[in-house]
Amino acid sequence: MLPVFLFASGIEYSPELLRYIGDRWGDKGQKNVLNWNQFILAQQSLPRLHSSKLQIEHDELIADNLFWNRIPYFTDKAHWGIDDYWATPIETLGSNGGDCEDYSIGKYFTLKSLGIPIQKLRIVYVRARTRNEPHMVLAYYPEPDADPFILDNLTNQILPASKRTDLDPIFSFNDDDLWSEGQNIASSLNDEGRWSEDTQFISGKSSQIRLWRDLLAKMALEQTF
Amino acid sequence: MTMFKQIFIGISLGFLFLVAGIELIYVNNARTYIQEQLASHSQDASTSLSMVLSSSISDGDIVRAETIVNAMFDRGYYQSILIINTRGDTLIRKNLPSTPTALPAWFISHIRLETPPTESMISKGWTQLGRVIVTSSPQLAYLQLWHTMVGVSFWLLGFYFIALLGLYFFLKNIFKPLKEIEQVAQAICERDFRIVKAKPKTSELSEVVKAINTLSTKISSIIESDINTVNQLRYEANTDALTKLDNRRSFEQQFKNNLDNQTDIGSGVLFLVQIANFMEFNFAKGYISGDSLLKLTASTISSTWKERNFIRSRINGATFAIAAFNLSHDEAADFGLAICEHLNHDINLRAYELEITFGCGATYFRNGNVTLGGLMGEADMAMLQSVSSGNNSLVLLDYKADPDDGDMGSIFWMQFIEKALNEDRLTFLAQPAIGFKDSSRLQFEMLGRIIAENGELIPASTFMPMAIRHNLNTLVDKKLIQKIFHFMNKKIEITGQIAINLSIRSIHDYEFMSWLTSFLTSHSDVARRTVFEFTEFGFVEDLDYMRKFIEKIRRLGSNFAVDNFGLHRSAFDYLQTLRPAYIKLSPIFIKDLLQNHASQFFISSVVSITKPLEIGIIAHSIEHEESLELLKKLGVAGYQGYATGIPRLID
Repeated sequence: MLPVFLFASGIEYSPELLRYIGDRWGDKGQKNVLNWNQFILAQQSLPRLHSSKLQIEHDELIADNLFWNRIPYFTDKAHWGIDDYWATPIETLGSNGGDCEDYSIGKYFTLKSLGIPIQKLRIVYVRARTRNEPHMVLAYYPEPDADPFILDNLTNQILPASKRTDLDPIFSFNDDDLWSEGQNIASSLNDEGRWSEDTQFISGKSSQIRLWRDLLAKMALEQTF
Repeated sequence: MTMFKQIFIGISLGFLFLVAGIELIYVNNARTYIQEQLASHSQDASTSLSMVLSSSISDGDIVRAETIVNAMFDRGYYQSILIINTRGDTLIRKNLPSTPTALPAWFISHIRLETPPTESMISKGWTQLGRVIVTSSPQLAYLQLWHTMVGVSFWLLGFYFIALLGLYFFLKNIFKPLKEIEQVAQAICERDFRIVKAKPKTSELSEVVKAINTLSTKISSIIESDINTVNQLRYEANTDALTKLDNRRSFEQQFKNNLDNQTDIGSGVLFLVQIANFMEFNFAKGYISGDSLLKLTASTISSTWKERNFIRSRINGATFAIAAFNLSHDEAADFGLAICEHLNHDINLRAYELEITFGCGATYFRNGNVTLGGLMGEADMAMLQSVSSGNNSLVLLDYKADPDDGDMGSIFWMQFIEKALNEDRLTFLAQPAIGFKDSSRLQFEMLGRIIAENGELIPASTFMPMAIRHNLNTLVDKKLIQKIFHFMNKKIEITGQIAINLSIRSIHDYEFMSWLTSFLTSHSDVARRTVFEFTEFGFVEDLDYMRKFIEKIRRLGSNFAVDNFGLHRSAFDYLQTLRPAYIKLSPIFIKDLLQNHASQFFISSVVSITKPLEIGIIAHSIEHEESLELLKKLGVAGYQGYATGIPRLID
């Protein structure tokens, strides 16, 4: 089962998982993975200059984007030997390489463990107009009907979507796309149509997207090490 | 419950569970599959709707959006379609009214198809506009599941019943020998050493059959060889070596026993046949010819009146004694004439140089106070008359022992018995038989008595022959049985076996038999304790009838026993076929037991043969206390009538 990050805390690695990472990718991979946890813990303990939640979240977006964009870019074919492979954050960090969806996945789960409601996050299939190739980014919606901010591995800058004319959105999803009982979008909104402050978000059952489903299964497997 | 039933029920229940399990798994799989189909179907619907609705919603054209939704919804596959905006406000809501279903309520409530709502986001570019929430309608799926279930049930039940039918015949076939084994086992318990004829294919059963058959054959062959030995010894002791007829000892034993047994003997004839000039013949022709003449005479006598049982013996030299019982005077005369005629024909046809003369004298008697000595004297006189007449013809005299016992006496007895029956002056005495082992009572023998007008008790041995002669025996037997049963029902403190003497004539009476059957049926408590005793002489004439009678009364819980056992040639053979409850030895063997080693040997032979058949032996008419000790030592089970066992009234 996928761990549920209701309240911010670090990522826990079992000694077996760490040994496995060490065996597979060496000390550097292990260090990268441990760094991720330290990054999350550091973000949580950071003294916040702003009182507004939105501003805190915005700071976290910037840090998250920078943290993941340091990972070198490789195509799946070059890195994993298959055409399309969605790696778990641990795989991306351990192997120290990834492509656009691996960045988006890593950023998504980092923000999730920092406590940002997943309703605000969507992984988006886009067309990169300048390169004219399929691409994937993470969108952050401060409010449901707001202009989202885009976390992209092509740029360390976080811009509103309206400024990213180079991206053409095609399809988006997140954990929440699968309706789970007693918890749908309507009930997590307050009277003003804003996200409720005390909303508890839980992940969905399973996804309609095969690769996403496989990814969640792999992450669950990592937890059993 | 029989093993067959238990196994059949067990396996068919197992089958039923299996079939129910298969059905359950099948329906559950179908349900899971259909449910996944429904979920994927509604997800597809919501995804495609979200794409189509994107421009209408962003333009705020709700009417157009609703038209699109209607087109989708009206296909009837959806329970509800809901469009909400990002604030959660409902833009469009479509709900299928709940329609009554033809399916049974229990089916829907047990199968319960979950149709979770599926969502898709409506967006235009980066802007989220709202969500489509679609729920599939399970109605069609329920219908499909129902048909699947009914169809599967039909087929499975069909296969189930075919399997049961197959199982039934399969088990029946395996168990067929078991039925026969069971019957043979029961027969062996009743000392009927049969064998199982079936040859079961099942190895265990075949071993059982082998064991039973070996055991049964072994025991019955042991019994058989004992019987053969005894028969051989008896034959040697009782047979005249030359003519193979009975010897004098055997003749006298049989004759006396029959005379003692007046209940079954109404009348009789005794012939004495003597070859008058035998000494002369012997001198003239030599002993070898003399012997062959005697043999010829014997075989001629034996072959006369083949269809009837009679005693034939060579009592000494050239004298033969022939006796037949229960026949009319005319029949006796015909029998005598036939003997004479045959002898004349056979002997003198041989064209011996010397003409053979013989005497044939006879005495006809009715029961009453007759003795063997008296009869022999009378017959001897008749034979001398015949010899002196010189023409080899029959002289038949009527024996009158007691002048009171003439026709007048006979009519007196008839009226006496009828009056006693009418006035209910019939009673009975009980005489216990005591076991040697622990001096406990083995049984009570019930002895019928008529109370004469002067209060005297007339024993059955006196009035029964008269009752038989006047066909009153069935009335007397009925009355006695009724009285005894009535008494036993009242005196419940008297437990154990009771023995009742029945005349053989009564059980050949159809009306009496149907009465007895229904009487025993309706008094089964006493019937189960009752043993009917018959004298050996009475029933050996018709063993087949007796066997049927015994089967009949055994079904009703009663049993059968033999009185005056041991004199008939077939005595040991019917022990095996009729398997009496016990036998009472003929008094002939008891009277001079202490001196007579032949009797002692006979009794110990009877003991060794009856032991494996579990037939008890009771001795009566014991005169000396020493005899008791000896009988006990020989292995007799009990005794009757000495000192303590005097018959007494018990009511």
